[in-house]
Amino acid sequence: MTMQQFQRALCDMIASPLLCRLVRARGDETLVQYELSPRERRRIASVARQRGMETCCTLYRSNRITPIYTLLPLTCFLLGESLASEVELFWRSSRDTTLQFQHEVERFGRFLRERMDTGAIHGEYLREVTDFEVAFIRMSFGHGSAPGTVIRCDPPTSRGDRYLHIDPSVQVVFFRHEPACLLDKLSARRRPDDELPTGEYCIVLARAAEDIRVLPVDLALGRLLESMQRGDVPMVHPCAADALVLAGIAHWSRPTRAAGRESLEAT
Amino acid sequence: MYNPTLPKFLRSSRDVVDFVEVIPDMFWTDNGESHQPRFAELDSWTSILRSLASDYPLIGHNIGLSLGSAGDPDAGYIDQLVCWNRTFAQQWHSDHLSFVRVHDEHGHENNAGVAVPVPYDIEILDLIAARVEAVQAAVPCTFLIENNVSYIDIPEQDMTEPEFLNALALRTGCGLLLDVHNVYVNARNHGFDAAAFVDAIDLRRVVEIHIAGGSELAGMYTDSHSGACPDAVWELLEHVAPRVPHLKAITFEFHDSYFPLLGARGVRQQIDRAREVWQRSCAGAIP
Repeated sequence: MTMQQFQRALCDMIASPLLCRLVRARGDETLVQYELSPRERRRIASVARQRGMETCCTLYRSNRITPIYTLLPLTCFLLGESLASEVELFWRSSRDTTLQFQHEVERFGRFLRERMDTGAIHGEYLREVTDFEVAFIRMSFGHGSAPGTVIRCDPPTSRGDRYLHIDPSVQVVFFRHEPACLLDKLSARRRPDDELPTGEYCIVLARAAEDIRVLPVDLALGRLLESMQRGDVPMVHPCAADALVLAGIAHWSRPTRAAGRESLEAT
Repeated sequence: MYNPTLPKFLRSSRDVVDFVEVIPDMFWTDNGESHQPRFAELDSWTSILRSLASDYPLIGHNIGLSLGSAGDPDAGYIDQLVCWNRTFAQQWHSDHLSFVRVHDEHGHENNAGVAVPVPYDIEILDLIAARVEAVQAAVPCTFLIENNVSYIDIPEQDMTEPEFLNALALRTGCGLLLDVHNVYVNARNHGFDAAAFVDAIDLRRVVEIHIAGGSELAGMYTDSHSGACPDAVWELLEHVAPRVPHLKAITFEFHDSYFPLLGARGVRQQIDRAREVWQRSCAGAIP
């Protein structure tokens, strides 16, 4: 048991330079929260004073910011000087980390959205860009084994098609600024100017062989797709179904069972 | 060592590279012990690897076994190693003498964020030996343990690191992966003789050697894999290679962000130089 506590104390210090300083300054008083043997206590007190502990703390922070900085570059650009304080808050709010890149990035995206919802942070483009980058990562890390979603087309099309298969990895993102202009400017690390067209826009991220396609779609179609993915839409009109197939987001299928959501045989 | 900048280089360098070592953990997402399925392979990455596997022998170098973690062994991770080895038929595989999995005050499992060294105590030797034996029983290929890089110096240890590695290899029959850059990093930061350290290791157990470059950070020299190997690492390789009778591979590690600096030519130079050292060492092997 004490070995586990020793490892926790060591890792807590690596994750928190503040704890290191407290252990240096107050020693036993700070370590009372850990059940340690006398030797383990002496070891923790010793390493807290070592120069190498600062290196470990720096490496920890470098390793934790790497997925965020690498996979959410536009979000980080928009956060600018706030990035450091936001990631500090994120890490402090939750030590719950697996260091799996996808999980870390999705959790940071959720954290930022909560901060935006409560008004703690504000950025003209931050919400839509964060949503886009998190959706892109979800796509990139997509795993091919997920079952497809089947939606019934009612009435059937004039060709007799009835069941529509939607790739479960498809991501829908809504924008308040024209997405192509916005993303182009940010990709060049330029802040968008006031001239950027505003309105309601929607894009869909869909897989195409090894690549990810970014498709601008009609707003109504985007909302329909989002509802389908939530399971709120049990059936669609043939016109909407045709539009989804035409956009390459869905294809006609023959289900193996006649229920609403089931495994498929693609036609 | 494979990184995402290398597929093009590897496809055009059949005469330069004899094998490819991969970190299997880069090719999957570990959703955690409570999730089913726990491991989800990244399809786009594994398809590249399947293609490379048809051209090169593969070696696995894991970072997630967390051999030194207190608590229960990670049986699910070993199952994943079995699946991976079945798919890619590795020549051998390895992991580190450290831990990354740690439990918080509520018992939740977290990642430590860095590979944390273990104290070289009898108690830890018993723990790690049992886990090495479990890996060996499950995965039908040779398993190696890599020596640590450590920026802290844990006091009052029962053994030195070479004594610990020798005891672990003797007890379990596992092989050793000698990372000479790790030795150099530790020797430089903690002020000991790197050659004396490697001489204290039972080099008959060493199957593979890692070489790499590093850089200064927060007042210490780190194992950052930031480009070409420093001269001291080449000297240490020259010293140790003739003394390793069962050496099967020398692996050059670099981080993908340094590829633009190194370039394909730079990578090739490091590999060529390592090959020259090995060839010289074969000619002048020290029994």
